[in-house]
Amino acid sequence: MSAAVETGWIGRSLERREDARLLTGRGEYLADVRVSDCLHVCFVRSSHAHARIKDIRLDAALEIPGVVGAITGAELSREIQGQKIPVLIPAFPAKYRQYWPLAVDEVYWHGEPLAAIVAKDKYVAEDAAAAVEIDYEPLPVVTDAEVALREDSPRVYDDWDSNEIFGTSYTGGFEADQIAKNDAEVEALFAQADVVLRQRFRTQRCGVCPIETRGALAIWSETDGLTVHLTTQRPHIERLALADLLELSTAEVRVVAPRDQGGGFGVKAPFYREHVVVCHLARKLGRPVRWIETREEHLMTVSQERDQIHDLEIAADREGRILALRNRGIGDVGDGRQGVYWGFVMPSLGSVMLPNAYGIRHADIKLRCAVTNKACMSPSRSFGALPTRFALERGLDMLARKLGLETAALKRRNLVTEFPFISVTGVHHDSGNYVKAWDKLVESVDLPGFRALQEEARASGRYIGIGFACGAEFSGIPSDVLVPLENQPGYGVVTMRIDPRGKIAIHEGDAPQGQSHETTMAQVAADAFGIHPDDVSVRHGDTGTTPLSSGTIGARGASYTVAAIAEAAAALKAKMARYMIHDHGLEGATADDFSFRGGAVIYEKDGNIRREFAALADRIVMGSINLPAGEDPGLEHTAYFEAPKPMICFTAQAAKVEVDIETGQFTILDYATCEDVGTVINPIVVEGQVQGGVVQGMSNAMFEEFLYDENGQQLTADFENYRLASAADVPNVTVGHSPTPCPDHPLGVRAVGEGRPGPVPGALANAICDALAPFGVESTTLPLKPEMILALIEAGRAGNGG
Amino acid sequence: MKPALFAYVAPQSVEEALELLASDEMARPLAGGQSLIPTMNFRIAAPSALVDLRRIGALNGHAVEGDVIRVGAMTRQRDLERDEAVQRANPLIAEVLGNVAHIVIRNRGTVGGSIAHADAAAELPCMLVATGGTVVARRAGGERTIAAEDFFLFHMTTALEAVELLTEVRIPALPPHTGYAFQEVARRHGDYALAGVCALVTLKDGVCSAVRLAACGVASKPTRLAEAEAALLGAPPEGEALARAAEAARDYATAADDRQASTDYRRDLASALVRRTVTKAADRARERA
Ligand SMILES: Cc1cc2nc3c(=O)[nH]c(=O)nc-3n(C[C@H](O)[C@H](O)[C@H](O)COP(=O)(O)OP(=O)(O)OC[C@H]3O[C@@H](n4cnc5c(N)ncnc54)[C@H](O)[C@@H]3O)c2cc1C
Repeated sequence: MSAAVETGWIGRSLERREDARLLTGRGEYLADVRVSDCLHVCFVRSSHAHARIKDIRLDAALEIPGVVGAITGAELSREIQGQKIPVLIPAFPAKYRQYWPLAVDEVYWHGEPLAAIVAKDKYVAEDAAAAVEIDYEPLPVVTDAEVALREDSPRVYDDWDSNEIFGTSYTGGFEADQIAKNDAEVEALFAQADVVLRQRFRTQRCGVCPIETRGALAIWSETDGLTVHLTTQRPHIERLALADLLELSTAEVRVVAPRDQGGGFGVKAPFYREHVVVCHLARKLGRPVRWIETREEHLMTVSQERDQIHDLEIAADREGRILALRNRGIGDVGDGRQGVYWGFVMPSLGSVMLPNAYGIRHADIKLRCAVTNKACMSPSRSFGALPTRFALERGLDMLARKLGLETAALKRRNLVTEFPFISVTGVHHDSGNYVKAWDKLVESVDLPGFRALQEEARASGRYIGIGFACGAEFSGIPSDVLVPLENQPGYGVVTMRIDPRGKIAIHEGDAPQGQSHETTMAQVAADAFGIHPDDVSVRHGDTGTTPLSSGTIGARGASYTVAAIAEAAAALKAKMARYMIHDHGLEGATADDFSFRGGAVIYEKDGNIRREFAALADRIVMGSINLPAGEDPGLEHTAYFEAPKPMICFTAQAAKVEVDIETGQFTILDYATCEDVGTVINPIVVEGQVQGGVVQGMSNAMFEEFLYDENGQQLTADFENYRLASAADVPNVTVGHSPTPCPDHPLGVRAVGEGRPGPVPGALANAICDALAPFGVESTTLPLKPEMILALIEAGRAGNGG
Repeated sequence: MKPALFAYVAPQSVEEALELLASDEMARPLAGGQSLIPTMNFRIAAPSALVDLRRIGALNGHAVEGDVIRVGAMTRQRDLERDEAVQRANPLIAEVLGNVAHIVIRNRGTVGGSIAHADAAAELPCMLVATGGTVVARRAGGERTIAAEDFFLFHMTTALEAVELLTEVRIPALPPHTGYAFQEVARRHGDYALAGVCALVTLKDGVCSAVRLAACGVASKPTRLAEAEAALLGAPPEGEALARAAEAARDYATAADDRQASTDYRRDLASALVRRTVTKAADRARERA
């Protein structure tokens, strides 16, 4: 029992309990897991974007001292299952292509693994990988989704009738005639509209890069089977998949996500083929085998998202009210062979999220996704929605300029005001007050003052601008959405255990990678039981000790898992109250008559009747005689939380920039947000999520870009060429709040993790275009390269007649 | 990624280092390692041995001697940047170094390493060309001094021979009545310049009595902008003359289109940067007068 027990832990800026070990170099990352006798894997990857593998010769590699073994795709395919099992396949129609963890016969993208070397250390493994000789017969390459969708395009898979892996309409219904009817209604609205904006928007292939790359450490035991330490956001899903693929009983597979992971952001959510190979090799060789992905491999294979084109049309009236929306999206999914998301789930959700926080009643939204000879798109924070956020936020600014309206006012006019609201694409906006948050943001940036400043600056040849954007984002993902989308449950679940000394252990099957679960979840439990957070431990990531959950994805932590903690606490408190009633003979009393505070359980009607929290726990767990009627001993409860309806959170964002019209360079003068995350559990954690999310959006908007040449060769597989923003390139973000507690969450919490990067490119580009309005600059592509901006200025000057 | 196998030696003297280099033509000197080690990790370079220069006392240290600043090859970039005597003798040096990578990299990166590496977009080589500095190269039994403009031959190629070590860099102090400026445009803070311009403007009675301009990032090596200098010489550093100089600078941007920038954009940048650096240098020259 801690000495001074305060209460009211929710809402406090408690220092992160993870920080002490992380900041003193004592984090426990995958590479820190020690095992003796461990071997290292290096993957041999295709140097061609599309080719037939004619021959692989391993002899020279195997002769290098220190090399223990090697395997090719052909060998592996005889030893394990093909990678296509229900838990990894979404429940809607698309072309899910069977594939092997190592390429067999043919490679489809530059970087595809086709063999693996096992050696005593990483150095030797790389030497040997370089010694593998491969004969390729090059095949036609397609690297552009629009080209890939043409009838005469070379096929990525020659047995497919087209390169379209997935395509659908998000509006009108599921039947063709319903959709046609809807499309005709939308067309009629366009025909009547005062103004129509038509524009193509393009977002480049980019994503998020965790500092820690991927990795796996597989240990095989004849008695216990497979234990694999894995960088993953979803250890339980990995376990099921690995067991199926390796034809092991699930009883023989334990997946452990390390206590600390150096970021994930979605990148560690798919099921990756490398994992299977590492596990198989450990089993085959009977020795521990580790793979730590190099940065080059990482940039060649994952973190690639956002690759979308949108032909957007907005019909509006003279006041800027949106009458209807039409969008034709194209997603470039790469090879489209990756467990769980298959490259197209991201653009698909992006289309679902397109209408954003705007109360759009009529829309015709369709998407086509194509496979290309590029790495498969894998998820990145803001999952699929950053491109559609960019398109609509930019589109609305262009519309405002067309109508001569202030963009902030035009957007405000279109925000959803009545809740619950179901969007044209079926997104359920449960509650909130978007207009209030928007107004607070606009006030905080002093829009009239800025406009005056802008006038003055222009008079002296300086160009400053302001841009706005917003995001209504999922607050966790309910089973309703997750089961069809990914074929796995959305519920939040924890097992909570109270020991006889009054210490609480929370076991969650998720696998955080920097989301501060150990801090915020302890705060929530401490608050519920009136004890100190130091008396609460949070354990995660080990499938051997935690309940099955779909993982740390989609902002599920504070929304779903925390809600499960609140429910588990309520159940255990009720049980403790029943013991109090029994032990003290308080017939007629109910759980509500007891308060948990100051480390004690107190009968509110008679303060003399109280028990130390730990003493009561000891009584229930250890003193298992004289039980209340029908009561079990022990204090353990597993709670499942499922919100009755999907929940949502909101962010409004504003950027101020200055553009140098001689070089096209711009400086972010200020960046502000206003958040509705409902009840804030820990303000510094929320702030960290917003700062980090916004910075990732800035980095995507300004610098990051995966490039392939016309032969499909990847050109950006290092941090010199794939450029991330550094601290010096981004401002501190001013984070404001306008909370409305979420009615469907026991604590009123809304999530914050997923959506924050999405609105950023739109806000930044809008600010740049606002600054350059005298030149009529409208940027429609990312990244916002100074050279491109300068070209737009020059084009504007020429258009204006100099 | 991991480098291929290599040997490592850390000699105590220049003579010893030269001997080691002469005995193994695949050996390479190691200075701060900020350029060499990454290329080894990518397996672009695979030297048989690294001859680490850091224990060699004679290559460390720097001093202002009259109107020249002598900088030992192994002087860390950050040490030179922060030295007050150097700042007084030639404040351009610190202004240039502020644009080289990030502090953590300058803490390890050396002056000699940057000059020997000779990246066409690097700032220090550009500064050395602008100031008219020299490089001291030693080989077994001999030493030679090479003018900066003769030293840099091409991107990552210098007049240094495999058996030679760069031992010292000599940078002239800022001449009287002279203002200086360095500016660059890079994609991010700390990136190599897409274009950078170093300007030294000497004013006498309001007109340029001497001008030295050099650019990095725009061509295959750090380049004197002779035509731009000529446009300014004998004229006030503004108006018509400055416009002509800025125009002339365009033609020095010859680097082919690459992933970072097109030739046209580099031409625009060279021009804008000449205008800006000359103006700033002239302002400073007036302040000093
Ligand atoms: C992230 C990053 C960003 C960077 N950004 C910039 C930038 O913006 N501008 C910039 O100019 N530089 C930049 N650099 C490079 C940095 O300045 C390097 O430190 C410098 O170019 C090389 O110096 P070094 O001491 O590290 O040399 P090393 O890497 O040790 O050596 C470089 C080369 O010079 C040779 N060499 C070194 N010393 C001698 C000598 N005395 N005699 C003969 N040969 C020698 C080596 O053999 C090697 O070939 C950056 C580096 C990094 C990692």
